[in-house]
Amino acid sequence: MPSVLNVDTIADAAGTGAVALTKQSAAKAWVNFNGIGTVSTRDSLNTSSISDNGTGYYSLNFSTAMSNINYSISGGTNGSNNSYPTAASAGGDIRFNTNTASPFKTQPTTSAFTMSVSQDNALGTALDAEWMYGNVLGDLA
Amino acid sequence: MASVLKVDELQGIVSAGDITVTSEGGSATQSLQQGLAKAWACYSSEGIPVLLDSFNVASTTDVGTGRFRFTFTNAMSNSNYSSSGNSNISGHYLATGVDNNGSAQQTTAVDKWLSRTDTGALADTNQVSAQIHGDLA
Repeated sequence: MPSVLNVDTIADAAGTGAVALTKQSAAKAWVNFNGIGTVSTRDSLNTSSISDNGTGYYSLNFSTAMSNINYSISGGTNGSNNSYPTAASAGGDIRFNTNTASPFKTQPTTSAFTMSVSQDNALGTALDAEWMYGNVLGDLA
Repeated sequence: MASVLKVDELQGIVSAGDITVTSEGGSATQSLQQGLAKAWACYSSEGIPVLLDSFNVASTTDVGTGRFRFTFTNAMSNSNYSSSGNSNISGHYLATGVDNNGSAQQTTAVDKWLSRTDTGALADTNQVSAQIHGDLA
């Protein structure tokens, strides 16, 4: 018979630190947001707000900070009907501006990171996208 | 000596689906369930499409060059989940994304996941990695 443990909070033996999830790691933040017009968050974890920095350029701000800037960022987009009238061209390129050579020259911090989206063509034209996704793995403060 | 708790299943008391864990730095707490990936897949579409490994993915469907459908085993509770991933192929930079024609995502599947070259052309790839974070039904 499987054993079931009912508990509301799990901490380490000292009661102040994290427990190890054997060979597993949970995301520390994720978000689904609309980047067109007034940016709005549909659903999220550990995301306090999203700043609209310009066309196709956003800052995602954490509710609880990360412990360092060495976290993993990934994301995606499906663009929008306005920008991509045919299914064959739907989508967009996501960039995380993690070094000073990026167009926006903004490195991640423990409290936020930036992401940008552009058309999925060789021109890489910046655009706002209706469906934007991001997630973060690493260590919380 | 580190203490080890061996158990097959964890449930919250107040809410069965909500357990709080302490952060690595010890200064914050966060929902364990909210941070767990609800689905992931590693998929090859070159030649005969193969689902190399996955979690909560019942099936995959090749719906055209560079376009794949991932059907969930257990559905998401709403369409507001986060979809992210990447793809690769020897000698090319590839981008990936979700194609819903600007509509809300489906709760039962990602339809469709795209793989494209750096000029925007849809392309099959030897590995697409996809992750889903959000709320299960």
